[in-house]
Amino acid sequence: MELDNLKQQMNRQLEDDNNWQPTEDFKGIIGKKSVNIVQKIRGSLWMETIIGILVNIPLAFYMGYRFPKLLQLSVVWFIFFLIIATVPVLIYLIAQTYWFEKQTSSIRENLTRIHQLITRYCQVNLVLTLLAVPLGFTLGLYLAVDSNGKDGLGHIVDFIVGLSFEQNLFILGVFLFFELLFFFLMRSYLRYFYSKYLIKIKEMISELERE
Amino acid sequence: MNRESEFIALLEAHQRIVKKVCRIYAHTTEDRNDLFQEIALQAWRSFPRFRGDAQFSTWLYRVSLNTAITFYRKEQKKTSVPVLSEEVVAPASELDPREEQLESMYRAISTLSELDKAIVLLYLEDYPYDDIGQMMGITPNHVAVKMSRIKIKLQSLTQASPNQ
Repeated sequence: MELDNLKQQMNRQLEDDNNWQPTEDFKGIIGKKSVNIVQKIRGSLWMETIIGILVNIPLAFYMGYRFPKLLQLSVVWFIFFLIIATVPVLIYLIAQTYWFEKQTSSIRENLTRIHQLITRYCQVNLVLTLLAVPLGFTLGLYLAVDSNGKDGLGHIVDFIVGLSFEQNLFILGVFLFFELLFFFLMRSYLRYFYSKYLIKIKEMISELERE
Repeated sequence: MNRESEFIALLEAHQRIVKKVCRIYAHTTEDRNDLFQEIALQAWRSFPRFRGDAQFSTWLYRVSLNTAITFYRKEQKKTSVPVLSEEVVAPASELDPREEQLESMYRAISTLSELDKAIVLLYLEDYPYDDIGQMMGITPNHVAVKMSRIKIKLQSLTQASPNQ
């Protein structure tokens, strides 16, 4: 039996099936929230951008006000700009989501774009996570100033100089442990939500590319 | 007529396309309703890009298939054996031979990959290979090769298990 012999009948049956009718009309549907992956990623990106701006700008102004010494300020602003530099990356990704959500391109193009978007989103999140521990640590040191005006960095330098090689190695180990912990937690989170989906998309792209 | 009314009128006139895509890609009533809603939403979001240089039906097929193929389910729900025809046809004992053949074909189609289902759907709609190629993003020759393989696969599947 061939597909062509059943073509007309199948076509008609698929159109006229009365066993399933959509529960809602189009007017009711178009005001609803989408579950599209691109919109989901856009939501996460907006959240990260807003948190990035809301947390960093007041923090930088506060620190500039509290620690007006030149050296401290230069480090503070360096860290501030390093963090804030990620915001344009996030905004760039958000702009891409608006471009990608238009489902009018070919299937192959659409799959490739979605794959690119999710991959970039995961990469940006992993880099941000890797930066978070050292940046948070350095900022914390600058916030910790004693009554003599000595900041946390001065204390930590004195502290490290007074330690043995093994103790320094231990501190470095603890630091690396937290760095890797955050990295693996973020990686697990991204894998849980996106890895199966990414593999599926990649397989479909390969299927289209195979002649 | 404003843009929203124009869109709804067009979508209602062509809703058979959305229904067909939902029937091919979703296997439970709940999934079908979710997919139907998502396709309508994506079509509405993409509607400002519809310039009328292509037929609305072709444009809607493109949007519907793109949405169905990339439809993201948070729980990654799995249906044990996706049976396209379970709601379309009657139980096997009540079917005449022609209907049995149809049921068998539906079951065979449900085992195809997402992309092959799209090609079959467009083929059933009588789109030429050029148009199918444009929608899929591959060459017409590639479509022909794929269609030929799909037909062989469907034939072997329906011959191997005519009553499944």
